[in-house]
Amino acid sequence: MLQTWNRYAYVANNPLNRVDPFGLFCGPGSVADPNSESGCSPAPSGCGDSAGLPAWTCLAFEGWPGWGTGQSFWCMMMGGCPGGSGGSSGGGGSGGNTTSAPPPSPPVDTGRPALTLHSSTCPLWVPSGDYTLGSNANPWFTSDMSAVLSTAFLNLNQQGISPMITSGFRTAADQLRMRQGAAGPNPAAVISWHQVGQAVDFNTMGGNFDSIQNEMINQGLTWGGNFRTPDPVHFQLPAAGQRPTSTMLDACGG
Amino acid sequence: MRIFCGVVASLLLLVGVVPVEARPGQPSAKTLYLLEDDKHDQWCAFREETEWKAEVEALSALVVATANYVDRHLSAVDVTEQDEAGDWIVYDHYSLDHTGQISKLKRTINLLPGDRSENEVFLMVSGTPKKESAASRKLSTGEPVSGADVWLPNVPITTRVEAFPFFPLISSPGTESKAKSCVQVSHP
Repeated sequence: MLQTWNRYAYVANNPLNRVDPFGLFCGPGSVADPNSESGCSPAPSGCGDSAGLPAWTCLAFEGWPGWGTGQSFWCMMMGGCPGGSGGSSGGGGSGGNTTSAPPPSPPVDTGRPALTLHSSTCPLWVPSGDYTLGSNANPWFTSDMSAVLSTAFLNLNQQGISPMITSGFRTAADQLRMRQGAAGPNPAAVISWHQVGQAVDFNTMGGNFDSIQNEMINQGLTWGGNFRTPDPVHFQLPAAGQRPTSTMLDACGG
Repeated sequence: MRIFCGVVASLLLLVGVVPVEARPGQPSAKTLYLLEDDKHDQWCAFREETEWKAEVEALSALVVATANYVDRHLSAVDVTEQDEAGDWIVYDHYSLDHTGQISKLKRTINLLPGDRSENEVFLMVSGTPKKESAASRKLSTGEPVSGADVWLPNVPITTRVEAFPFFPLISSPGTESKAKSCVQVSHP
């Protein structure tokens, strides 16, 4: 269920149709390109053989909202690719001579990085689109959750709505903060989907919460307002009643 | 001499094993531990804290409570409710007066989305909660904040001790002697 745990999560669970950073399918320095007749395109100019760099620098994240075709992790980490393939947010060209269709229109550029890597074993992504962050909110999510949120944000942005995330990814220390100052009994600590990047909370006081709620539900997220102990600000990717396992927490450090 | 020492030692040993609650001149204190088992629509009470904690973990209980007795009279009830998403938790401390009715509620709401901690005090006046004080602060820093710009969970306030869903467990004299007792409850 969680793509984060999939070894091919970095290519949206579709390694053959997305990228080929180690040259196993298309050859060194090439990326898989479903829009190319051969199925492959030269690597972006800022990574791999094209730039005299190792093939792993072509690790790309094609197909994600806001991340251009051929945009590589290396380019993002380096703040942009020489030759114009990549950048810090949205856009980006396919790099090289390809027959690819033009990439989709870039999302609203909020000036924030398009991607944050939480750890090498548990990549968490920053969704694209226009939104704001509340106090102590981290906009990091698993790849599938981030993709859902990116789509939802773009739809909301088109309606002139910029949601405020009041809580995203949480570490174990963040989660424990809820129990501080405890005056009463509380032996059970709830493990939250926030700790594995599968949940998000929004500000309900902005006046557009109905639209935000409808959009999130339309995107398939589970609404916390229907929980037995209602939490209307909360949306999560898993169904109600499920809990993250300790293995998930260990892997993500949440 | 040996017999005398044996008698003295026995007396000392006896004094040592008498429970604190039974010592004359001192109020005895006792706590009963409770949890809501929503899977079976019941509340259960435990005499031992360790058994209660194990059951809370096993059931992932979201609502738990303790009933505190002084000299076998119910003096306070603490109820903790948290949501399954792990976003908020509400600590309620109900104080009871000499008649056994609720006189005061101290409530703490900790909320991660919005980074907020609310402290409220209610006095029960003719069976109605009257807010005596309220203070807001940031959960992360403790810094005071003003304004109701965050959503807060709406956990009902109990105004009569009989209204606790676990009341039969804390009012029945025989309950405390059992390791575990449960009563069925119905959800609306």
